[in-house]
Amino acid sequence: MKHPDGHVVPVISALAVAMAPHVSGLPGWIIAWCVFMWLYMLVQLKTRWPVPGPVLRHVLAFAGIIGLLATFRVQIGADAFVGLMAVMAGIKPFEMATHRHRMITVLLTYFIIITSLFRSESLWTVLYMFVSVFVTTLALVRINHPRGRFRPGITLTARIMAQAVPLMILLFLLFPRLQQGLFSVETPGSGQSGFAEILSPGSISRMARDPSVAFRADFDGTLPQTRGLYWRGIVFNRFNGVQWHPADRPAFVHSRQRDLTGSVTYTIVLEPHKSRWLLALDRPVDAPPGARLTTDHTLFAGRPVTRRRVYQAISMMDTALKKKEPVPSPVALGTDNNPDTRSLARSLAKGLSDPREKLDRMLAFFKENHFTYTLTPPLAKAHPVDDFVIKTRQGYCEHYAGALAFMMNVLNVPARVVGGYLGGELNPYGDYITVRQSSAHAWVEVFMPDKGWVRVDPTLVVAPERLEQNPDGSFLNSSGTGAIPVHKRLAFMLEAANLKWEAWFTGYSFAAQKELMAQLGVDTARGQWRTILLLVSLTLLVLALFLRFFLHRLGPEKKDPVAEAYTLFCKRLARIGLVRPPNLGPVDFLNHVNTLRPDLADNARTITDLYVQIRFGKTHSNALTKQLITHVRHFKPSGRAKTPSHKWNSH
Amino acid sequence: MMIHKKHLSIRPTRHGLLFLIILGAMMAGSINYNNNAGFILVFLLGGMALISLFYSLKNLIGLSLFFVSASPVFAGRTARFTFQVQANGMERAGVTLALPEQADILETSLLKHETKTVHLPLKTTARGVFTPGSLTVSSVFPFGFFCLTTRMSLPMSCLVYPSPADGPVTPVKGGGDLDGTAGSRFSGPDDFQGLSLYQPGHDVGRIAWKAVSKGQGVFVKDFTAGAGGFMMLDFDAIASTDTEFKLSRLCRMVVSADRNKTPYGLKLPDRVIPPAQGPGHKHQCLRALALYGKKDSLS
Repeated sequence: MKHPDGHVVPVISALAVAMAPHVSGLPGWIIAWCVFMWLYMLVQLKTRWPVPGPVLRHVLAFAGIIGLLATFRVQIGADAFVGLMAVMAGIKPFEMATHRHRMITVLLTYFIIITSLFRSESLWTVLYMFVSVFVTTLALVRINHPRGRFRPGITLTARIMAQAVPLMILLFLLFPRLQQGLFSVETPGSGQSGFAEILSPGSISRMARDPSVAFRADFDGTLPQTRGLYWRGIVFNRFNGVQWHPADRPAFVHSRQRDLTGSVTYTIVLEPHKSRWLLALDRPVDAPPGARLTTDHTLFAGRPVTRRRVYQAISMMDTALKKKEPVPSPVALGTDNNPDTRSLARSLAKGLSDPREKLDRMLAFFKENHFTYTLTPPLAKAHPVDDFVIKTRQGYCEHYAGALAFMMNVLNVPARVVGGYLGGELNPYGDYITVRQSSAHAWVEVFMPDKGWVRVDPTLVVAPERLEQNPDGSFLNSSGTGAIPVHKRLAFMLEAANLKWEAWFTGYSFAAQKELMAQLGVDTARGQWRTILLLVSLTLLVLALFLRFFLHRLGPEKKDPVAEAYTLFCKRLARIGLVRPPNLGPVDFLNHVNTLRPDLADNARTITDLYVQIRFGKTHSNALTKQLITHVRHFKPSGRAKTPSHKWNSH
Repeated sequence: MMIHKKHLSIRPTRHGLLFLIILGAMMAGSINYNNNAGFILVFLLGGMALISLFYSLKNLIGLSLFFVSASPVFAGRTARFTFQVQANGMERAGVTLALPEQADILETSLLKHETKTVHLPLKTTARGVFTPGSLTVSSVFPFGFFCLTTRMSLPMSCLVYPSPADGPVTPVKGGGDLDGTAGSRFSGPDDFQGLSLYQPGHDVGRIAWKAVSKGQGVFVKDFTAGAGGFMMLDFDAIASTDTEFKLSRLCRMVVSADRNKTPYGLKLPDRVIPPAQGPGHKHQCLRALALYGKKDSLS
């Protein structure tokens, strides 16, 4: 190609736009790598610095792969894959000398676009995807027509995209969705938000500064009237001296609770956390499809949540449950750990027999002994409970909950730690609550013989403000729109729009397709395969109609009315024996007609003059064309020419 | 000749197939992760690729080609086929014209109402009438995923003269009744004999400009050869058994004689062209050489 430079800017723009959503998830050196290579190529356009040859390119590729191996070790996961594509995207602009390489680069860019969609399916991601596809397609058009002007390229790309949108929507609605994936591979980006399945010092504070969304709960206008929203996730009822663990195998409730008066129903959109524990308001009383209710009143899903999961939960906000529960035995604590706390608990509770009195005494101990709430406590050693209760007296929810549950069990009162989230941010525009990782919390449940498991939050004794605030100091509940600053309000509105979108868009599944079919009057109750077949045939029908529509729009061949009229004129003359040989010009043919049939001369002259005037004249006029057509239509010669026309054929 | 829908054949390019594979991979990923945004992208890109086909068709349909000319060349030289491409009210982008078995292709683009004259070079090998046969018009615009091709039979041919072969300019004998003194008379233009009065029809190159500038009237220089002398280029006079070589030698002689303004005639075994001069005569002789022994297929 004579103009290899014309591609550089469009292709690099496309790569940069496609890579942008990955910036937050990529290691810094890869971003620097891409920016450096691309800037070099752009500057090179002006300065004509040498473009790296094949040897240097291979060295660069090798260096990039070494860097990837150093960063991601041997974890060939989704993040490493995105990293690999980023490294390739960085050096791709160096080898764009041939059409083939340029095309491959653009196709790679399309692939990068889809990887960003696996990170997030939010409204903004999808809208950004359209921008990205536009820029990339513009580069594609440019590559295939390098000398073309820029503006028609933009128009063409926009047109093609706009025309593809109806098809895209129809196919999106109709293409049958499988309920389960083909292979189980971890979703890119899902690794950031963790959900601790072991309660050990530090596991929650790690999350305390993570503002990413853990889940959202949509209450459909009926917000629960309560102070403090405890989101129950996991129950820890085993202690090994250092850490709290959940039960090895959860036991499930087999009978469903029938009486649901006073319960709240809401929808939770749970971000992937790789765990099988689903979150619900304390306490859930029924399990959504695909999950079961445990005897600990937690929800346990059939498979780990590796992609966003939408489910409906039903909870009773009154923690005292109506159902009578069997008295559990206290948690086995081992014998040789945390001896100082054990003796402390025993001495504090000396003479007390009522579990409630014991509990009050323990809470009073925390309150009166200068315990402080901090997210950065000193490191715990071999006996973490001792370290915390006796020595440092600095900690956060996890320390307090763990210590209290430990002490209560020492006193033969069954107690366990519950992990989950506390609070959330109410979006006044969407009637839903956003709960972030930073709201992670742990509290205690103590078994009272008369009331069953009762929630006790020792953290509140030390830091009562925790009920209203997140650990990092931000407020949990925000009510009313009046006091909210404008930028925050805008953020709420955008978030609400996004949630509405996500609730519909990411929730669009086979069930939704069945519903759509039902709305269209198709009976889908008779079996899944029938519905799938119907959807497949509808998809194909849409494709076929679409192709037909566009090919039809090409229309029948555009006819030239002038040529048609003249052809008709010749045909009519041929009928009376005046055949026009193909190499004879119209004027010569006219002379020929004149000599053989002087009676037709006038009409033939008018027609020929018009034809010549339209065809070879400078002005184009529809009036002349119309005139020609009228004349030809009225030109009906009859009789036979005196001389046969074969004379002309000998040419 | 105007390109119609029915003329066009569509096939995916290598990159189109690669795109299809990538789209398939994207689809598999979207199905696996139940990723609705992925589906959206796959359907968008797939739809765009389909629609691009429509624009590819539109880009070629209605385009007119007129076959203009191809001037004769000597064998081994490059012939230039000249076409006229007419846009007919549509912008045409990246239209490729190619002749069969030729590496040289030509890419052109036209504005809405533009008419362009384009030349396709074509290397010739042997003398005779060269007919490229067909012209391939194709385009991968706009995405490069589909290649639309149409083959047009090319009613064009190019006369290829033998390639001139150098060699000693052996005195060529005049044939038959013109024999004898040709050898001594053939002295070339340097053999200046005198001036004679200019008459219309005389070669302008022979005008004695000095005499004109002196106001003595318009005279033409007379050379030996010009004073009734001519040479007869005789096929049989060349000592060789190779017909092609003989034709090449004759070709060179015709060119030299024409350059030297020497009247010359050509004697081929099957044809005699009487001595004369000028471009028309030269072409007639070269054409006779080009077509010697071949069926005259030029009309």
